[in-house]
Amino acid sequence: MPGCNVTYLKSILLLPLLFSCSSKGEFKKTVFAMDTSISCAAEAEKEEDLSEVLSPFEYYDSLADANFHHYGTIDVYDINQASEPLEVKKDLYDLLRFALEMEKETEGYFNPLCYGLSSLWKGALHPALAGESAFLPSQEDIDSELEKMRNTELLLEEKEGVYTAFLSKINPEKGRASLDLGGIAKGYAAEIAKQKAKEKNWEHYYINGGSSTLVFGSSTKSGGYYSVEWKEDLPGKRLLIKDACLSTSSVTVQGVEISGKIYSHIVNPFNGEASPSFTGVTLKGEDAGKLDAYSTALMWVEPSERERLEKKWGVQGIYYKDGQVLEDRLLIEAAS
Amino acid sequence: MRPFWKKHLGDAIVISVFSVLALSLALYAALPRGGSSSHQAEITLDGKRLEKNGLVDLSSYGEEETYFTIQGYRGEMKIAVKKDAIRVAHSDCPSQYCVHQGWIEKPGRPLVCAYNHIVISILGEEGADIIL
Repeated sequence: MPGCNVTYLKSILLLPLLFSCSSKGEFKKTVFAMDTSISCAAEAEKEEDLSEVLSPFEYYDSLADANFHHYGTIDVYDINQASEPLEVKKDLYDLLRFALEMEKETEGYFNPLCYGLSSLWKGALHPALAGESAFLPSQEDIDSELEKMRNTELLLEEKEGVYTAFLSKINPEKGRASLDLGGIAKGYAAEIAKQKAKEKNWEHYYINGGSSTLVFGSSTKSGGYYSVEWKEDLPGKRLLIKDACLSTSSVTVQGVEISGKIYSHIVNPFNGEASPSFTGVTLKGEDAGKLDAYSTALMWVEPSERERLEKKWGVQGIYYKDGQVLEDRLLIEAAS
Repeated sequence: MRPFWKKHLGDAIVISVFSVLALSLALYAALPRGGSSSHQAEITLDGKRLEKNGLVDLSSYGEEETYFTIQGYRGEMKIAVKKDAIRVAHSDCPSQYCVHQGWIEKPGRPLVCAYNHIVISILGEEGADIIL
């Protein structure tokens, strides 16, 4: 019957159009947090999803800020100023607990109590960042900060849904150190962003936290790999990666040269030094938060201990200096 | 035939319009996007290219440094350009990392002033998806 045939014809012709309207799009988004730009490229249903996935970076930028108080919330700055236990949000409590966990896992090479030591070096080196002369802090000042770190304990308590944090002095007569979560905050936020991406069933995406913290899904290109290069630090080297994270600690961007040595914001929590013996390390692993702590720690670990710790942590790293590879288990592993 | 088309003229119009729309969208998606010169620098604020000085033709400058000012999220920044290179000459940001990075000449690692939400990048094929 002619009428029935035309109806079926309309349905058949309209069906493909309906399916094409529901496909995902490719979006990019950049936010500014943690002193850098955080960008995301993803195949998603809508652009607003990228803002939601990147939101942990702005959120933890406020919570973990040791330099300024953020209105409306108790943050790390407040804990550093407080003379008694402070009630904190569960999110901050969890971050602080993670920091203590990482201190233990890195055998002390990551230490969340190094705010005073880091600030001492940042203050000394800051003029050089703007092109002026810089000076080294005195050994007396460095030793004073180290003593405060040894004399301070971060106490966390959870009781009936109330979370508190307090920096306690072991010896009340001596000074107290302050918290600095700069070595883990970006990675911690990236790991939460990764979980949000998973909840949205994202497959094809990456999150770039200022080039030092990276989370990768799979690429839409053949094979599903994203390509990564170290332009200045390792010219000519390329890594193909998917469904994993990368973390880099390096003195390249923030380092300052004084009398032939490069000093930076990455300090040794055991002896207060700020001039690592090499340029940087890039680590590959599964958890972006842990990777951030591990890469910070590995800037100071003895070379003979690097492989042991990488195996303990289930990560692979590449270490470099002056454009040359010093040690590599990352590219070798990727090639095999 | 005539009575058939007279009866289904409306259906034919709807089907034709949707078919043309779908074909246009498919063609648009398949079209190659234009490339950019490697001697151009792009300056963005919150991801959007600045209206003034948002695209800088670095090849048109000489060896001597020339300066111009841009408005960032929190304040002004002084930008220096010379032949095929660009840098941040001055920013009021606390960290000064953008100033410290110095000149950039090739696509890859951009200059970022997080305080002012400014990103300065050299346009062109970067090769890799991510540059560390």
